Amino acid sequence: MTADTTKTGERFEMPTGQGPLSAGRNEVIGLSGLTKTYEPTPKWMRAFARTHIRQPVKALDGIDLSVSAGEVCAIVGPNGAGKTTMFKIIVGLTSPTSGSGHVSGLDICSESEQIRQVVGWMPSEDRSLLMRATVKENLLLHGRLQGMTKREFVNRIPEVLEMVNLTAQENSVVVSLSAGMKARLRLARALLPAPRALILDEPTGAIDPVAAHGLLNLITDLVQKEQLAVLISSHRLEEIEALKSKALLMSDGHVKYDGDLDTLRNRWEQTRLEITFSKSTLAYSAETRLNSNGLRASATDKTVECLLPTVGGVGVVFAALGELSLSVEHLRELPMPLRDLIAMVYQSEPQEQRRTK
Amino acid sequence: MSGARASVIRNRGLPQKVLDTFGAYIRIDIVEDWMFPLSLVLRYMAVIFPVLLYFFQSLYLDLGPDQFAFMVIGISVTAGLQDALTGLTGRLQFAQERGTLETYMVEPVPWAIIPLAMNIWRSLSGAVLACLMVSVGALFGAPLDLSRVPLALTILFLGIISCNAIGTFAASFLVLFKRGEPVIMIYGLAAGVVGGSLFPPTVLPGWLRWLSYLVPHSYVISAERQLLMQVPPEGGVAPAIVIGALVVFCIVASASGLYVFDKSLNYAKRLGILGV
Repeated sequence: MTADTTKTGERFEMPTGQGPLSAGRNEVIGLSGLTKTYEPTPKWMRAFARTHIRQPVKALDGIDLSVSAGEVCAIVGPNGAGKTTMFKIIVGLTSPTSGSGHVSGLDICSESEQIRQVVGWMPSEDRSLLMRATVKENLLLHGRLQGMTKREFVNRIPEVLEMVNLTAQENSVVVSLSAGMKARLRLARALLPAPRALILDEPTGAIDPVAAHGLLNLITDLVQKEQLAVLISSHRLEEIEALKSKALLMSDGHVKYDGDLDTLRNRWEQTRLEITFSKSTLAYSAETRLNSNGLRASATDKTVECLLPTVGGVGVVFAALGELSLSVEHLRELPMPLRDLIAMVYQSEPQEQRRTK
Repeated sequence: MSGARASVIRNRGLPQKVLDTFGAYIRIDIVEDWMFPLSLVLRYMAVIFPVLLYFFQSLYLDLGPDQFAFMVIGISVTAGLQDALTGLTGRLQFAQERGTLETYMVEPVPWAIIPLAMNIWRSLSGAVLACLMVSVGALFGAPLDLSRVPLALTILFLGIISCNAIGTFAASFLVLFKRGEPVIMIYGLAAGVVGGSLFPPTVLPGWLRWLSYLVPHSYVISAERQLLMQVPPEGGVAPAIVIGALVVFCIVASASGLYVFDKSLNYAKRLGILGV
């Protein structure tokens, strides 16, 4: 450990040791071979409370993950994929069955209390806020539990409120805030103790698309300015794409893909060509001709959508159309929606039986 | 807006963490109470009625003012300790069912002290309630000796700490089995019978009387009667002995309660049932 002095003058210890995966990188979060199996409660406990699982459930199976300072990693997966379990293990709310991990050099199994000081957690729901208290009181409660001094509060609360654009609402009661403001308050609370890492669990779940866009822009800016390592889970795939982040696609506790979305696109994307004709009869003729040439096409009214072949591209399509290509009025490439891209990744291997955890 | 800040791990010893946690939760409880001023006033006003109940009963049965004082002290202490006893599991279960328990647990403080911190304000307000009931009793003519109030308050606070310690056992039960009421209900009802709130434990048959030695209620109620009544009942335990017994009970029960609670939390963490 080394010592560091903040601008408020307090002297703190700062962990310098990094995990085994961090060589040569400023890695903040590192997980290696992380596995979690939920066991049914022992029989003697079931006399008091019935168990909701009858068989062991493997929620995580050998997860490796590395997130550096200034990097966002989007965790994508259907319900039951293991996202929440992974987050809970990182902050010490549950323990892994096997594997290891660290956050800012702190071991996730033995130093979870210290980890909770360097990780900002933004839960998905507003009920984690004290609804009858003011914005400032919510931050004061969290700051006190984080061990912040009065001198730190004086500087840091206005700072984080300015970051999330809630300065004017400092003394407003939380229940009177809009859903977007409440989301920003949850973010401010996570940022208050100047964490090294942020865990954002469905941060835009309850807010409208405009507010969600603003919140994600804010998060993107903060990641760079504060050099935060961010783990974010979201079901809104367009938001994940807008973050330009690294992505971890999970399914049934396994990692299906780990890397940036551009690489994912290059590897999996199948671009479609939208061809518009002057008459619908021409479009249906084109559909027949393309399909008979081994291409995959479908017509709707005057438009034909055709999957571009990996070899030959547009030229192969036009060769197949022959003289019909002279009747083409409009042509454009349709990028594959991320939703379809991810669905293809998930279908790339036989799905295991979906777990109910 | 600030630039990048170094990650910090604030060096806090356990006493500082306990102080920070207790301070934070007391403040937020005050804020919550302050948000609903009328319900706070009504809660304290409601204590007049049980005192009135026993006042009129003592008139009807012609029990006399000393018996009225005897009963008022018994029910006041029981009411004051009840808040300390039930508040801990009540708050914890509320947080668990509302889904906010995990939010509290991602704070960097030892988990075992969180429920205690949640219950401090409730316990203190229980003590105020007990004092208020005794005061109302005095207004209705209960003959009380107020010269030893500081010692009476000391014993009441030791009783509250004891009940919090018992509450941690119930909280351990709650963490693992999601319900804490069975433990508290059995204990609360048993303490009502053997604690001697309306009659002295000497009335009980021998096979039941020994239980009264195991519950802090009987010590606290007996000592309060010895200290506050102008004509204390015979056969009561001396306040000095009560203080000694309660101090030992507090130390043993608090240490073992926190140990059991910590073990329960870690077991629940391993099973993955902490917040559900």
